[in-house]
Amino acid sequence: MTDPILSFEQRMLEAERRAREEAERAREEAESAREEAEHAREEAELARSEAELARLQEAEARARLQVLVESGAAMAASLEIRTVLSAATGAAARRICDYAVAFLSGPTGGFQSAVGAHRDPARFGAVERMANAALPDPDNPHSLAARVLRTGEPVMVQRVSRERMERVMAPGEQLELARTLGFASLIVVPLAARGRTLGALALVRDDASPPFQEADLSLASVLAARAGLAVDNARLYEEREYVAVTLQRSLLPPELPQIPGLEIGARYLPASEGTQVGGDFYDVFDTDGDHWLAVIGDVVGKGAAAAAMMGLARYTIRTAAMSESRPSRILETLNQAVLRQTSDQRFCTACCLRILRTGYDARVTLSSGGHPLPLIVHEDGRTEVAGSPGTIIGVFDDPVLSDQVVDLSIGDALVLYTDGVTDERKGDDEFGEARLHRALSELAGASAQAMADGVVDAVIDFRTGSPRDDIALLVLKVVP
Amino acid sequence: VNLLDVSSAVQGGRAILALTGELDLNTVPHAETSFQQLATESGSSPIVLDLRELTFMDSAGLRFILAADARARESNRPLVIVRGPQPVHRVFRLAMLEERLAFADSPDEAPGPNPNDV
Repeated sequence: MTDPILSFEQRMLEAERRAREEAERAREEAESAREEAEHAREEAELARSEAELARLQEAEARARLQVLVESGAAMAASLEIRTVLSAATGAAARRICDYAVAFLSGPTGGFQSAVGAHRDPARFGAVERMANAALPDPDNPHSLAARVLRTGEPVMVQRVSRERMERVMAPGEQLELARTLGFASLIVVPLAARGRTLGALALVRDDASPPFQEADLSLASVLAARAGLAVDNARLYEEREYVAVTLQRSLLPPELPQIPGLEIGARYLPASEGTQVGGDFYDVFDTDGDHWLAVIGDVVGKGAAAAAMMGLARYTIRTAAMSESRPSRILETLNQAVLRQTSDQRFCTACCLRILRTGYDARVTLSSGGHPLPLIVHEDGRTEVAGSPGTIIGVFDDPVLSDQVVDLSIGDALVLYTDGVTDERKGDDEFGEARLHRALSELAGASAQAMADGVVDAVIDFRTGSPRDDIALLVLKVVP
Repeated sequence: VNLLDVSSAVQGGRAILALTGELDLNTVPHAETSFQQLATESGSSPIVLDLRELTFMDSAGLRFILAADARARESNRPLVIVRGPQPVHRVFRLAMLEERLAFADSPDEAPGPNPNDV
């Protein structure tokens, strides 16, 4: 039997315990609800900041994309280093900084040139003057451009002190311009490609702009990486152009020989100053002391294959002339050599002539392999065509090639040319043979070189638009 | 500006490539592409290169024609060139090719299709 009092007390205790437990549970529930609410708030906050971050990143990504889109095409399309650097600094100045300068390193280390741009086009000149007043000294320990060139690592100075600016800038114009333009925050990133640092890109903000942030540094680095590649491509292109021009020169005689009683004039005008080696060639050389050999020719097409055939033609003719005296036989030898070398209908044309200068005249034996026939210009202005046509060189194994003999008197000139002369155009009209005869007739009596120059001038005067083809002229004039 | 127009057609059993404008180093690739396509699609029909509307031809153009002729010879197909105007034809004369290539004054003078193919 239970004790009623005890059991009352027990019930009270029990009720109290339950109430406590319930209160505790309610408190816990409230707490957990609060926690949940807090958690939810935190999550909402996180989501909000993530959204904000995403928005910022998107804006930044857009800006980044924009700067790369703006500069990328211009840089990629350009084969000139200065144009590439203008595009890069221009894009940087519009999107990342107030003004930018690209420094290009030279072959012996250090910097050799600078290209600049300002957000405000009116201040372009000031940036360029400041940059070129004194290029960064590679030995200046304070120069960030020099450091970047050395290490290949980007650097950022968020706040440039006055002392730093004065240590880096050359006193005088450069320092003055830097003060005028403002020099408050600085990023320098390497212009690098294929493992080589080619220069440095400096981005500057003035005192009115906020200091650079990490995001600016990474954007500048991406821009500089693209610019570095474009500079490298342009550099390769310039090298190739140099090789092409050198090759072209090597295929023309460095200087024409002095021949007693025979004046020689020559002109060569490439259609384009560019990487394409043209197909025209000429040569004049001594065969046995008494006889001289002159040749002019034209190889189809341009570029390396044309240059190779030009080399083949020039050296084959020189070699053949040691054992063959007849120009037609020399051209037959050339025909065989070209046939052996190519099987793709790449051909050349050539006019080959052998000259014997006697006491009172010059006897010329000439043969043409598909080449425009030379013109004789008499001292009185009469002109006539010399020789007869022959088959182009390098396509058929049975070319028709013949020798014609012409005697030239003192004062007469023989003009050899390539079809670039007669093919030059003005609208639908071409310079043609008639104009060539007329031009030469007016030049009769002039020196060999003056005749060659005069024809080139007439062609340049005539043509409209860009040159169509290479032009080569070789003039031989019989003089006392 | 397209300086060379090329039209190709198979007419009366002949594959005709008609060139209008200027055939030079810059436009030859265009002519080559059209020629390859026409030559492939026209079986063994005789080929006609119609140069009547050509205003200019340089040595690169001549090389294209020689290559077309060589290709036709390889497959035993006649190739006939319809003469172009004087400045164009002069290029053949200067190269001494009048005897080596087959010329005609109009596409109708070209040989007809091989009777075995009809």
